[in-house]
Amino acid sequence: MTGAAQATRDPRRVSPATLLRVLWRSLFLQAAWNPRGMQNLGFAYAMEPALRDLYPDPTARAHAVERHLEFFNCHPYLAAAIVGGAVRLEEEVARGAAEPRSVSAFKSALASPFAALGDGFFWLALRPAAALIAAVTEPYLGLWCVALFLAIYDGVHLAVRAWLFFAGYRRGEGIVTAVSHAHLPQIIGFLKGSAAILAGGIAGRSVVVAGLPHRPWHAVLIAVLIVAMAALLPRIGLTAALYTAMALGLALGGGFL
Amino acid sequence: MKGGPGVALIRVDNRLVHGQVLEAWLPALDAHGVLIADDEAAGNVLARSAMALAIPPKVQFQVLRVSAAAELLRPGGTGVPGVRTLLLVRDVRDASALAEQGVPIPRLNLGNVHFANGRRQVAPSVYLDAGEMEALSRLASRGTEVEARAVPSEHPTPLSTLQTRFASAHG
Repeated sequence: MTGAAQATRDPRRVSPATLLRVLWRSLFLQAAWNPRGMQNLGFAYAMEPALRDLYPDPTARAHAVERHLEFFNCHPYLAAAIVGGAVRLEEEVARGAAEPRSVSAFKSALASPFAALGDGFFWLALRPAAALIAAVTEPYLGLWCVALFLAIYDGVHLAVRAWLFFAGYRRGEGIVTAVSHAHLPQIIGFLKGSAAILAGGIAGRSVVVAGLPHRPWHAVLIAVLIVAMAALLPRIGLTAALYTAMALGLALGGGFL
Repeated sequence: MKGGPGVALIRVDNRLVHGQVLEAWLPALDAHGVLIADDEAAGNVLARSAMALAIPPKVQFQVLRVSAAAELLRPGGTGVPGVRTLLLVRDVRDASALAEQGVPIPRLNLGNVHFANGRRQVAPSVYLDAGEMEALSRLASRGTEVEARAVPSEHPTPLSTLQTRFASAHG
């Protein structure tokens, strides 16, 4: 940066380049996960470029880094909103317009509820839906369906992360309202419904494939299995269901059935 | 774990509303309400609105100060409204405050209590200090069954095991 640019820039604002560095670093939120502070090191690491801009004085900066080393645990994607909001609040603290305590209060108020939202949206809705869309295309794309899965899942996930980060930075505490306008519960319902339909489609197709060319009993076996699973799965819980499905898939794929 | 209206379980969880509570405990307890007894959350609009965002639309949700929750839940109080409810408190201190104000606690679940100075690890997600261990012993002597477990599918760890671990853990 040239001397002239340095002089004109408001020292209590984070530069756009720094914002991008913070966003990039927030992707590594869990890289130093530990049982005591959980994502605290990752959070402090993400904030560090912004704090360097805002607090030229080393003692003040050390204090600022310290408050980001306190316990933090959230969904790794939704946390982007909190990192963005924390940068905005740190600007206000550096300007003397807010108490340092307000940054910690903001982080601890949002971390758990956002973790629940992230679990519901990404782990329990988007990931299975993306995987099933990719699985449906397997007859046409072959192994490329894996790339399709990654494109769908990471396309959405990275876009959402960037949106959350900048919305958090722009709106500070207003991020809660912004997220509430994203209609997540409706999208989650839609994704789960679509995933169920796709899973049914894949099950139906596997019955037809199993019956070809001249093994009708094979198709009957698979159909019975699918009906049994549909009746049993809601009762055995998600984890058990996943492992059962994986074992069945391996057995079918390996030609043991 | 099916049952009628009332408090299905009292859980100590630093994180209050989060995935384990909404996705694992509510279905396992057949509960359709969450009551949070926490002074800090009751006084913080941001925390309350963020929690409301995470709670599914069909789940009843209320945040009260600890004393207000005790008023509601002690014998002779109006009780929790309508549905079977999971009661969440932030730490052991709030659970014993409820007990001292007359709220019956037949079972106390320790879910997540994260590390702080003076606390030692007694379960994978539970760290407690000497004062909290003592408070739990007092609750147990009054008939509360204390257990540590993060999610319902885990085996509950009883208080006696937590005490042994606390004694042998480094400070």
